[in-house]
Amino acid sequence: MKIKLPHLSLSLKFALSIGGVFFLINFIFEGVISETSEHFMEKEIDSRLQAKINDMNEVYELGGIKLLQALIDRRAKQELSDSRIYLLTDQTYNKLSGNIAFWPEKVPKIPGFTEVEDDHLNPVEFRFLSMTLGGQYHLLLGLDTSKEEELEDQVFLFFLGALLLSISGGTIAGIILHRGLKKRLSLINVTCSEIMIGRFSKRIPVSRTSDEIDVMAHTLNSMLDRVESLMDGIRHVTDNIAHDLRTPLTRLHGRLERLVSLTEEGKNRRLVEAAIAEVDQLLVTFSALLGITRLETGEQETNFAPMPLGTLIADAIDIYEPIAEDRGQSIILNDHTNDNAGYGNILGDRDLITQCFSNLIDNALKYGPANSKITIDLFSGETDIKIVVHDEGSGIPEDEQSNVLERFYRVESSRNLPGNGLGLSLVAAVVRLHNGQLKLENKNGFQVIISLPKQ
Amino acid sequence: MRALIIEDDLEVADFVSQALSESGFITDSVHDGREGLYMAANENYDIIILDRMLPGKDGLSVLRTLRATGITTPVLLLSALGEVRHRIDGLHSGGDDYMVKPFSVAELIARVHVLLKRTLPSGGETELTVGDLKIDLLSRRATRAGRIIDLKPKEYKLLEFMMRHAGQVVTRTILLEQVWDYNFAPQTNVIDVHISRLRNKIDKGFTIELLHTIRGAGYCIRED
Repeated sequence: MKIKLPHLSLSLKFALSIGGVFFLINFIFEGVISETSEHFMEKEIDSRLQAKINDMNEVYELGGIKLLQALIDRRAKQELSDSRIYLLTDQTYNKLSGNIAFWPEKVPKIPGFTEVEDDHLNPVEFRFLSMTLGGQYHLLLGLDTSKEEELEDQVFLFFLGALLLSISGGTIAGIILHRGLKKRLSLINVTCSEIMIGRFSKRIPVSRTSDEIDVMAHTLNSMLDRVESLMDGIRHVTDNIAHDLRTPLTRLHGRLERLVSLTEEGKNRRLVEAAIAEVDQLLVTFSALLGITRLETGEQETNFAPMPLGTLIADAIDIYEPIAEDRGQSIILNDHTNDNAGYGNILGDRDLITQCFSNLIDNALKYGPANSKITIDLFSGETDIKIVVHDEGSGIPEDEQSNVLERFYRVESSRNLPGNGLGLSLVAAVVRLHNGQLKLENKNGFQVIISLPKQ
Repeated sequence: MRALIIEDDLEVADFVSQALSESGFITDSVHDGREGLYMAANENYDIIILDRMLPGKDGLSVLRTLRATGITTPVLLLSALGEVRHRIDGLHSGGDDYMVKPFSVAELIARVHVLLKRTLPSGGETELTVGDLKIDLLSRRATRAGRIIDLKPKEYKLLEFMMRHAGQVVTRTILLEQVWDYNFAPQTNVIDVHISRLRNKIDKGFTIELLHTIRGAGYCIRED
């Protein structure tokens, strides 16, 4: 099973990784330092004890036990604090001289170093060194190491503080750094979204730092210049087509109509009437094509207004009802959008949305078999309204589904049916203009699934 | 009835003028905006056909000037610009209807008649009659020879529109716009099916047909 990672924003990841790196470095650093300092301090204490005990051993060897006793007595008296311990005993560990009364329990009666940790009552720590002198005396020296321990604790605390500081500092620095980065990235995003809905003149702002983002923005802007000039070209061509073809076509239409009124009823007249019908069909195709081009190049200015989608679709069904009835088909609308609170509303261009669904119903009736059902379901999602237009026809082969959205493409099996191959292209263009999604699916027939953002 | 045609394409102006003459209008044609404005301001026309793109003074500014000087003659705009926004611009500037080139002359004539009818003051009638077909505008009920005709709401709307323009040819486009509020042509010719349903309801079983198909143009409801 795959574990799904929670979604983290880029800036949080960035900040956390900086904090993490700071933490790791500090952690290792502190470990090394405290280990080294502890080791160093222990060695320092041990060498001090060793030097002292060697001195005393020398005194014993040169001057005998009496001299050593005298020395220890004097040292014990001189010692104001109780941070040092001297004890000289006989073979059976009875005190001869020193500043403690008896051999401490915790110190084993063998020569060598001993560490005595503080007990709960007496919070002191001592490091002891004992030695046997001439096989008959025992000498014990002790040094209070609490101060050193304290120092170690302080070093530890200091590093802990530094650690916390660096983590939070690193994280904050990461957040600030990334805020800036995010702001600039979101500028790019906003610009791209605007361009996607057809505002081709928008450009990404470039700052003066010429860093990597600026370089990217610059490249994107050059790309946009190119896209815009291509779009301008298309627009120019379509405008020219519109203007240069419309007037001659109007004349052609006018002449043919004139001809009809001058021709006697009969075969000739029918020919001219057929010619007029051809011109009309040509015009419909031509207008549809120009319309789609204008939608796709973002040239079409639209009247976006809130509108209840269910009502709009119901109206479109209404106009097709008699055609459906003639073919024994029925169109069923299931509006699950719960209209009462304006739930089924989208922000859209009424004419375009109507045309879009009118085309879909038209197709469903055309490609659905006689006596079949056409079902239109409306669902209200969190941010979108989903519309499913379903017919019981044979559908579109999957490898052809993306092609049918192209202009003039017609599925081989439907070439004998009337149509210009622009219906679904227009649907796709309208859906894109409204920032929606379009999906085709063969499922117990054929269905078109559209989602449009809610108002 | 007098019509003024302001159109710079001489051939288009010519066949519009011819068609209007044939349908009983006395027409004047001018070919630029200034001249058009002058004629419109100094003569009394019942309808003005105005091209949107004109040399000299552009069609929309001619229209705005006309409206600003208080001339309310209905204006039908012709344009090679067919986008929704152009249509809206045209209607906002004071145009009464808008046709996109290339247009059919039959359509233009039908629209002119609809426009003229619209500008006539409504007599506050409560009933429309064509032969023995009657509709009661208050109860929204239709009868033929005293027999009630059962109509769906859109069928009633269609019949009412046709009867308000009885004797005139109404085109499919006009019906789409006026009855269904569709500003585009659906892929399938839906209007013919609606008309044939309506015809079934009002003409079936009667010797005199009231709802006629005018080939190449549209439909007409009349008693003859």
